[in-house]
Amino acid sequence: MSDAVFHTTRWTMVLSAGGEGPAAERALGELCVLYRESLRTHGRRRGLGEEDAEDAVQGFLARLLSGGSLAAARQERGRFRAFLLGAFNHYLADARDREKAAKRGGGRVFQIDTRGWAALAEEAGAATAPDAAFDRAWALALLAATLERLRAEHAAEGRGEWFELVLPCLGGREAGAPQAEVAARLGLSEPALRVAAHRLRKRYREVLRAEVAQTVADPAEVDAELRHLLAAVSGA
Amino acid sequence: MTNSDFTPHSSVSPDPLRGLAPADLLSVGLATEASGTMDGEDAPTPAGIAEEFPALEVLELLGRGGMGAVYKARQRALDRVVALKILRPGLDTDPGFGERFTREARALARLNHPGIVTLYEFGCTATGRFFILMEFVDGLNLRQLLAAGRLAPREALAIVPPLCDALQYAHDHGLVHRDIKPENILVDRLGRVKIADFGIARPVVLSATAGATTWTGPMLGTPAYMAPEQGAKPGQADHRVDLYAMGVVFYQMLTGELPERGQIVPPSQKVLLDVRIDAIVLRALEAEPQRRYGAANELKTDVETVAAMPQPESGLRAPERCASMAGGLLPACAVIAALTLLCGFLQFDAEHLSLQVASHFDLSGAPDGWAARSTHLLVMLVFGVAVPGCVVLTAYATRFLPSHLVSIPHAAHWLAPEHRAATQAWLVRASMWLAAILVAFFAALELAISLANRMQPVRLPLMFLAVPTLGLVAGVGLWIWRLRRRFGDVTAEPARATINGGPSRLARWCRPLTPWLVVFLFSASMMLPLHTAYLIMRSERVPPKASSGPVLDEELRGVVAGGEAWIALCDRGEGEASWRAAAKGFRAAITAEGWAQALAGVRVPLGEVKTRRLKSAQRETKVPGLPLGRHAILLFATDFSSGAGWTETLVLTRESDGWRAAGYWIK
Repeated sequence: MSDAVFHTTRWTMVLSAGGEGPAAERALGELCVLYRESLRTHGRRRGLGEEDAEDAVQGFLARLLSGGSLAAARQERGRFRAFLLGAFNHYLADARDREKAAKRGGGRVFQIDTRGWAALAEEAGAATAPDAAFDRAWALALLAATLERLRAEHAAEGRGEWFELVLPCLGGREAGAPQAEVAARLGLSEPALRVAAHRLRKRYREVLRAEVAQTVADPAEVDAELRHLLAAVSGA
Repeated sequence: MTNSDFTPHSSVSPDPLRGLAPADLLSVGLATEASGTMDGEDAPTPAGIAEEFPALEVLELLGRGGMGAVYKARQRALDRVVALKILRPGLDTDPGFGERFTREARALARLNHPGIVTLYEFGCTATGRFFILMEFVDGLNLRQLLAAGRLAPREALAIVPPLCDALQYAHDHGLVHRDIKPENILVDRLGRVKIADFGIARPVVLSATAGATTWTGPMLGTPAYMAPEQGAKPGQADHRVDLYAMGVVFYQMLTGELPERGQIVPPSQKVLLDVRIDAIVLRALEAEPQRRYGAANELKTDVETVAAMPQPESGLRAPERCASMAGGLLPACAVIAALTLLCGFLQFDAEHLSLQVASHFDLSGAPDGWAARSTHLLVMLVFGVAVPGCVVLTAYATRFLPSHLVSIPHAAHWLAPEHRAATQAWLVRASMWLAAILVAFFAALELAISLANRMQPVRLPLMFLAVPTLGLVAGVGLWIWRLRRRFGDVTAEPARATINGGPSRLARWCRPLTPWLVVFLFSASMMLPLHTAYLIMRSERVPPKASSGPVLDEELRGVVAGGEAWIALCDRGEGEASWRAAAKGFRAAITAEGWAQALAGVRVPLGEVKTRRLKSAQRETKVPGLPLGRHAILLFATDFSSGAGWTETLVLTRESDGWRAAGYWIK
């Protein structure tokens, strides 16, 4: 699937091109759209108000897409998630400095919402909390994107409803009445539903891994990235 | 972990993860599928063997096993997808192999059954590679299906009969599979079951030259599925080895485990299922072939009998049902305890409260509403039973309601098909706790009213009302808190934990009791209030006296008292006074003197009243000789000192200032 190939190479392409050229810009833009929500969550956790977080994300992405910060990424050749978080933190710190300067000199860049718990937690030394929240939000965005892509695939084949019905069986361990119910609604026998769920699981795995692969520089890192995200959502 | 990080922004769209746990979803990405018979052996790549099969387009490697490798291929001429099995090199060093291979392939080629993977072609390539070309089954093998967990008994019961059909068909044609195992049982996309690898793929070392001791290595498949005689006396092994293997597969489908060697633990001790299935599985697993099923058909018949007459099963699986029943036992007992308390108070009050009960009190605690005792007690009973009953019924009815009408936190998660049954069982249990709280509240209220009525004067201290009310508020508050805690956190799934932890001792203990327990609890909770209602009604009846007078209502009792007072005047011969107390019509009909004379002439000779018993008292609107109106006719059986057996008839009529005598006859 050419699309899958494109997906797996997005971040690699951005890295190798150093963010220059229309293709790399488009790839980076697409990646950023997917994980924009995570940035906003992170911004909120860092103590920004809702609108300020939105402004910060917008400003950050604008600067990122204009190619300003990619030199560092090229040197790191790391994961897109780590790069994005690092760059965004940098941007926020920068913004805070500017705000302090602006306060001295008048004018306003961001209003830091000091009442937010995240800001308090950070002051108390729990500096990692916002990063973990970012990773969780990232994982959720990743899963949502994966399921959406899977859904779109099925919908394109006219099997959108089928997909929604079989999806709860994705976990695999359910063997009770709901499965019988789903099978009945699909007009399938239960073994047939199991086969279908197995296939869906297989395809889901492919899509998920492809989605992860596009954010890492080396396909061999997919497992490590998945484990990292799993630890993040499990609260470890 | 909740997706609360997301909700402020995405609350307008439905949950993008559809209630699936993020950790589960990520784990699926990491897990590698069980691929059945894979071992480390290298298999040629599709390209590597393409040369040897010019008629085929070899598409992909499907799997590798001890016997070789299986590829998905397209037969160019027929344009159909086939499965190509290439046997491991080196098998042909066994001198008899080629001949046996050919013989078995021919036997298999004669088989034509939907439950058996069809053989298309077999042979040996120019490079000495044995191959089999067969039907491609687009699906999974049973090993892969079982990797996602054991099957529900219902599913296992659906899979076994078609397998038995296929086996019976093969056995009828003289072919024994000898290596039935999950890897060789395929399930296609439509759920159809097929047996693969029939006999042919094994260089079966059954020949006399190879002794039993050479039965080692990968040629044998998996020993776990081998009947005892297959290893001990291979020469005597017959079709019943397949039935033994079927028993092992059946056991594995039900429990997810292989049966123990020696003393086999019945499947029902590992998972909750119909005990009749135990008998079937254990018979298939008999060590002695003679004690096993004689034919696949027999096994099939038994399985179908069980499948056709399932034990009554609710929407929940057995362990879930038992968990919910065991969990329901405690709240049910609480309901019955509270009901016993309420009914006990009501029954006691039916005996001991006065006929008029102060049932309503003003702010100062003074009574401002009164009710007949039975009315008050019945109202308390109906409220105490109906209100909690409606609560439980409502909770039960949620299973018939569409999801959007059930309003609980994270409803999309809790009412998703895979959680719905457990959620509803939980809701019903929770509603029973609420019902117990409500019944207890009514019992406490009745106690307060009862105590208030006993005080002199009748009074309801604020304390009496405050205790039940505060108890109710606390109980309901606690209940709501518990409900919110349960449904507020989508990661908490106690019900599932119990199930996956296998049958708990409690669940096993409650299983045989369940139907009886239900009947007992239900009848107990119905009988108590019914019996109480009966006692309340009975307490209302005026107890029969020795002189068994008529039953009178309050007004008639007043009328009778007035009538008796008037007759007493006559008894004393007070003609003037009795005339004045009589009705207007009476006074118009006779003068006071005339009346006094009549009394003296008729009544006085009769003498003193010895006994006077009211025989009847009834209201009339029409009485001969009197205008239409409200009248009452009283009949007394009277014994006078001069003689017994007289009947006095007294007619009273209602005038503006009360009941007055309108006529008096003595017969």
